[in-house]
Amino acid sequence: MRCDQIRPYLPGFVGGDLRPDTGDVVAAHVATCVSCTAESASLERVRTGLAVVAAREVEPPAGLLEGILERTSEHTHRRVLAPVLPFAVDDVVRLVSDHKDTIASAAGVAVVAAGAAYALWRAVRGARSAQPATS
Amino acid sequence: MQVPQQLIESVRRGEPGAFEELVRSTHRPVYSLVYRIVGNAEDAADVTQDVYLRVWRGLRGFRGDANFSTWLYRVAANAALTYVKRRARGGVPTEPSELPDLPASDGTEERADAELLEQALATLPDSQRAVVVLKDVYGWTCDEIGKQMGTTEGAVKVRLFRARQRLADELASAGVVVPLKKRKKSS
Repeated sequence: MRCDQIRPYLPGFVGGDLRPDTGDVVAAHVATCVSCTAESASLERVRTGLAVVAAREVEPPAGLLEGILERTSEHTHRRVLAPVLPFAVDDVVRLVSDHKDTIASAAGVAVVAAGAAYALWRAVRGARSAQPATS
Repeated sequence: MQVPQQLIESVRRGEPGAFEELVRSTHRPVYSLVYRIVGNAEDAADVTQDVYLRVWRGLRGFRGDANFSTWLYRVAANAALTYVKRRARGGVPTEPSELPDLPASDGTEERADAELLEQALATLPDSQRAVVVLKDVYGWTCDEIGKQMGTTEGAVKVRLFRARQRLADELASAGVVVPLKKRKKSS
């Protein structure tokens, strides 16, 4: 196989993420190709570098710890209501937060529907009052 | 990240100060994972706060036989991925990525590479960064990542391979390795 056919598989080859049969084809090519061997070595260096990244910690911004403790403390206060409510307040808050786009859309549709119903009611009422009285 | 079982039990019993101790001892690695997935310090701080709310709520249901660190990382990854997904849908404005504040390199080749790669990670598209971080930094399987991200193993591999390629390009542009795409075809 040619290098341009093998090259897309090299990032998977170095991580052992290819199917065994594909891996064998790539391995056979790499074993005889200086260019693809060099490319594999570069990709392997990425993998070993990333493994070292795991052991490093990113410095958190100042105040993160305090922020976490403050928010979990608010959560504790909300729990005071828990015994009198049939649901967890935080679950509701999270649900609303996660689905706020959907909730906003549903609210919009409800407002439009209510407006349309009101307009229809007004129109029907107007039409009835405009009818001549029959005896 | 090692968390004593005794501390977890203390938190579950609601002992004063226990949760604070848990946060103090774990928030740095959790923040690091979240930062590497969301690629932005400010967003990472918000998501990390959310992680600990989930932990606080979920600890009562946490089974003692499971590994707490694994569970905590899973909660963190899930929160970060949910955030990234919401951001991709346009629900959250994307801030430009900034370079992380990292410890100084001790001069070894691997650590110098790691420093460059950490910075390069922040420049990847969200979906590629999440996959390569979980696979190559934290050792998850493609199957696990696919389940967590709600996608197929095949789609995960495509993103993973592209991400590795781009990271190799970044190392090449820093002169660390031979540029991949500029070499002539050999056969």
